[in-house]
Amino acid sequence: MNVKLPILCPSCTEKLSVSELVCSNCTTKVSGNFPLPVLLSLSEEEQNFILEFFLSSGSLKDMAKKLGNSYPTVRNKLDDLIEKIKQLNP
Amino acid sequence: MKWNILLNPFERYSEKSLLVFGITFTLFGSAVAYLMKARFDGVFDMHLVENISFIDPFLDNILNIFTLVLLFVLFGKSINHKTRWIDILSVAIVARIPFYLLPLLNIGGVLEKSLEGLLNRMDFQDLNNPPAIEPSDLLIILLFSGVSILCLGWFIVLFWNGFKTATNAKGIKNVIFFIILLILAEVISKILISIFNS
Repeated sequence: MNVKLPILCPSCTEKLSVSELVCSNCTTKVSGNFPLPVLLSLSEEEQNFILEFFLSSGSLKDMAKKLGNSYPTVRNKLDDLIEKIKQLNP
Repeated sequence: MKWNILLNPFERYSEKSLLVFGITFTLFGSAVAYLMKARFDGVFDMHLVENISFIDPFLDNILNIFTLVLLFVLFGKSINHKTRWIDILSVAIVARIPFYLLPLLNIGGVLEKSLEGLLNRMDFQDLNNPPAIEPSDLLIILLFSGVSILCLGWFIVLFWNGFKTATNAKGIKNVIFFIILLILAEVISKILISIFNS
């Protein structure tokens, strides 16, 4: 099962933070209040877009071909994402 | 999905595919316009004329596309400096395709005859008494009017969707400027076409 990492509180829609980390080998637990990194604050679709951009060596033309979209459509998505990240990480 | 291809092909298809498709339709539309004696004398105009040379509809379309590209590249660059002229060119060429369907309504000179029939019955000295119009003429003129409005609407939707994709334009301010520029493009293209015809 593909479990989604929740990034917003289902109750009040505020941003969630990490309170516990666990070692999958020895089950040691670390507790605290760690803010989510900026990239994890994005939606799954946006994270996949950034991963695809990285794997295409930053070529929007290659990405457009892979995604079956036009070049300006992919460039607009990237520009919107840059704007969103700037707001998340002022 | 199919509607999306008809209303916003710019989201999906590359500028090369759009240009090939658009240029093919422009050439086809210009040739059909010549055969049907139609002129595209403005970015959203189509009129039937008595005399036409083969080059006229081609020149009309070149001037219309040139006007749209010139104005909307400048506007696009002011919104987003990454706007490419090739995207605006493909938008201007493809968005005008609906107008190339209009001359087809004059196959066999049907529309021309109906309009002539109406004009012959008009008494311009006595405009208070409307002329008796043949029902068949009325039907053809109403059909042409309806299809013209649909094509104009289709052109505007295609052009806005394409422009939005090419420039990432958002917000009501850009929509208002877009409408103003479209009207300005109509005026400029009409002037350019009349200069080239004089």
